[in-house]
Amino acid sequence: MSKPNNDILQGTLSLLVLRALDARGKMHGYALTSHIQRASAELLRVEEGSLYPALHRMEQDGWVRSEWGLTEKGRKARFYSLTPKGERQLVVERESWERLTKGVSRALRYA
Amino acid sequence: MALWHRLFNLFGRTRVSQAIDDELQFHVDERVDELMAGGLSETAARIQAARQFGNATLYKEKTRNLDVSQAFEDLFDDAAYAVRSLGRTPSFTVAAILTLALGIGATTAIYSVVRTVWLRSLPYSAPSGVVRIWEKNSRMGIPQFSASVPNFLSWRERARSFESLVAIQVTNANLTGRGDPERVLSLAVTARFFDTLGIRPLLGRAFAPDEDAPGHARVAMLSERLWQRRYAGDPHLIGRTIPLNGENWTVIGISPVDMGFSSDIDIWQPLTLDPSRENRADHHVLVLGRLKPGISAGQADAELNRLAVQLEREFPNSNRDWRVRLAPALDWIVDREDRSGLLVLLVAVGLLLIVACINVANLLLARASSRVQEFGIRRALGAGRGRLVRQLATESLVLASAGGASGILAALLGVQGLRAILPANVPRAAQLSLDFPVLAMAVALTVVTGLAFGLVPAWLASRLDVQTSVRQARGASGAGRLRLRQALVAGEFALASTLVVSAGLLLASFGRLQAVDLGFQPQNVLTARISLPAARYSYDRTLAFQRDLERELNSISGLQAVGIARNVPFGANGGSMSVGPADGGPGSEQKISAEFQMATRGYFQALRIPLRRGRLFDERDRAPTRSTVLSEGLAQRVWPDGRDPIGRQVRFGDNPLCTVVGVVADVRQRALTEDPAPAAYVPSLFLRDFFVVLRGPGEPAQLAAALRQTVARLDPAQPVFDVRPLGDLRDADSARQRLNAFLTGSFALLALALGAVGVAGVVSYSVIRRTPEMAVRMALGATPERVVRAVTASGLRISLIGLVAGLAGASALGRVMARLLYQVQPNDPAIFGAAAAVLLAAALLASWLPARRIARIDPVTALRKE
Repeated sequence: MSKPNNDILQGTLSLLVLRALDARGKMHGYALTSHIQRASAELLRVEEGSLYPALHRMEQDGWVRSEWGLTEKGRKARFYSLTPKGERQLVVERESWERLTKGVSRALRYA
Repeated sequence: MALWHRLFNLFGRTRVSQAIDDELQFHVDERVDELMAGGLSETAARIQAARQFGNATLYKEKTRNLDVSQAFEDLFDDAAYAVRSLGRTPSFTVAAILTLALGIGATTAIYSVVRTVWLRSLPYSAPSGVVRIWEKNSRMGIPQFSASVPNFLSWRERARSFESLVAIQVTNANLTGRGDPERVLSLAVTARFFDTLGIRPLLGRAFAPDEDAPGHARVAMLSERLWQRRYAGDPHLIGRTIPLNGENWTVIGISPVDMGFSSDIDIWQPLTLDPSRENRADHHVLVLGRLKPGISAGQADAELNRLAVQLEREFPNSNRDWRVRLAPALDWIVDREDRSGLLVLLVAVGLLLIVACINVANLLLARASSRVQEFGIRRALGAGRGRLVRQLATESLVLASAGGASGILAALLGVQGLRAILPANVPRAAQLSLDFPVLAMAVALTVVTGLAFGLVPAWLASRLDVQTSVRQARGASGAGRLRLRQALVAGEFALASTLVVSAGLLLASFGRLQAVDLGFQPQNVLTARISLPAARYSYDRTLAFQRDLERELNSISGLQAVGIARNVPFGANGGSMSVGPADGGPGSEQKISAEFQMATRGYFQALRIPLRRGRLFDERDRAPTRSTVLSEGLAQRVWPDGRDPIGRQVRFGDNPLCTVVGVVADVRQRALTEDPAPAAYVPSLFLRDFFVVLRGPGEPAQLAAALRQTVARLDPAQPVFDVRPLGDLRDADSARQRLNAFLTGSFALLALALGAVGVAGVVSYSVIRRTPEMAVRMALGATPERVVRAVTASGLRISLIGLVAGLAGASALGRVMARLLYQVQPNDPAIFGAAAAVLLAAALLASWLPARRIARIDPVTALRKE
């Protein structure tokens, strides 16, 4: 079974999640995948299987907190939101991401 | 926060798991809604959503793995999986568990014997102060011998090194009263015996210091065994009397089971020493001593030897060249030969244990090799590395635990089996019990082996590249593991070789012992003892009883010979006497110590002791004539110049002269390993305690009934005891050698079987690995025979390396072995050669059987499979 080769780069998932929560506030997991996909103009696809372990890890690291709530459709879902620690982490990850992309594009230009 | 979370999760395991399920379910539900909105039916949407979600179980696990409690839950899952997985390969599982059980069981049982017999300290107070004292005579070639009563009394009177010295004599007693009459082994001991050793009676009291004085009231102690068996442990037995040899003896105490030496003694009686009736040259008591505090065994030895020189001066006739040997009690109870025997058994069983461990290691490695594909697929399906390793480790642990548990069972059975086959005269045989520290050690060793070698493949598997392992399960990936297995198998085969050679030596030695020329033929001979009570049998009545018995027995049809004698070879009634010529030959000064036998004509005929010259006893020799028959060896020593002894006279001790009427072949009287002792026979039979020998046409045990009936007809109150085929007496004499050879032989056989299985395992593995290579060769024109030969040779090479190392190991063991071997050199090339041939044959078979399979390959199929 071939998959489109646009799975999210290892390590960037937490950045995307932090950024999404930063931009949109409280969100459940399913909304997060839809949001990232939409925001990246369908270029990026979050693999569901990696999302939930990542969310739990981030919660244990204290970057996000979670609570159970009801969706508009009345379904019980777990909502995630950013903690102050998560906000600081977002800044750190964003910077390192920019350094990385800058480095990569430079390398590509001069290679 | 994180820690709190985890701890919280630990208590709320189910809730957390439920929460994760809920969350993932919510996700799928949302997806289904979306897909249905896009026009799919609900079923199609669910399928699509599930597919998109992928391996839900794995994600759940990944998410959940963040919880501590998960580790515990996984352990149970793993254990259950391990049991299932082991159950799928029953032959492997059974082989591994059996091997472990064998190793643990055999080691523990043997070590328990060594500890009980040798290593456990003697049950005496300050055991190192207790010594055994022998007399020795280097000119007569006697390294240690019992002491004579007058010498013992002189020591007790003059020696200053001892707190006390005690004399012991082994006797038998007829025990009657309620229940069947029985013959029991009794030790007559001087009164201070129990104080000297520091053994307290279990019940009642030990002998008072004056209770061995002549004329003292008859008091006896019973062993706990007899007390329990015959008197049901009745505490009121103390103070009551029991009939021993027709006299009433008062029971004063019960001795404990563990006396330090052999466990088959049932009665203790005081030994009354009467110097007026003793001969200083008659060595027949066993002497033990308790050293004074601060006196070493060496000092005591020196003092006794100074005393021996004094006594030699005072009693030159009896004490010429007699000196003293003194050794700690444990050296007497477990002598050098016993120790070597135990040591060899210990080494043998230790080697077996190592072989068993290697075998299990090998089985585990082989199993892991054959499961590379399984691991690969499970990795591909999403099993985590750690999880795989953990699972393999759990499997090894489950296996090792099962092996350990069966090992404990095997050890219990082994100890019980050994208790049944240990000769009764093995010291403390009755106290043999399972040794827990060594059981724990053996179990721990095998469990550690199981774990270690279970983890090696686990570790290797965790490094596997999924694709390679799935595609090339039979490819080069197993090369490292193969080398490890080859090394293990070579080591295993080496140890097995050492064991096989050692067992070969012991078996050969036992074979020589069995084939030794006894000087008589024990087959078809029944022996029995009769002990006439002095109260009812005078001199004349004794002789009349013996004459009647011989006549009655001779009238039974089918009996070939009937004889009566003081003793039989390997019997318990021997005695010696000094012999010298009366006619002033060259040896006249020199008295020779000879076995002194009293025997009728029928005795020689029943045992088929060949007559060399002259005649056997006949009617002319009825008492009180003075005729004697000498053994060849004795005749030669009395008249070294080769004169014809017939008609010459000899003197026994201080008795009147006897005339030699015949010369018979030398007979091994005392032990198979001892050269035949010089022997003198006289026809006089004034003996109330004697042996009857019967030679029949077949199975000697069948003669027992006729013998008992005949005796009962002559005297209904007279018991017949120790009724045994003469062959059994001979076998009893070699019981320890037989046991050693049997046990070592069994261990060697097991080790050889395990070693061969190891070789076969490595060869079959290399057959699987080399199938493509061999297919190519065969496609290129190699004949199947050549291919099989090549694979067989690879197995043989490993075995050969092991064999050479094993032979070297066996010759290194030679020094210990030498003491156990009878007429066999520890480096006997014939035995080494024969053992090597057996081992090579086993190796060849173990290599060829699996190698043969490769000839059946169809090259085309094999190559296409690649």
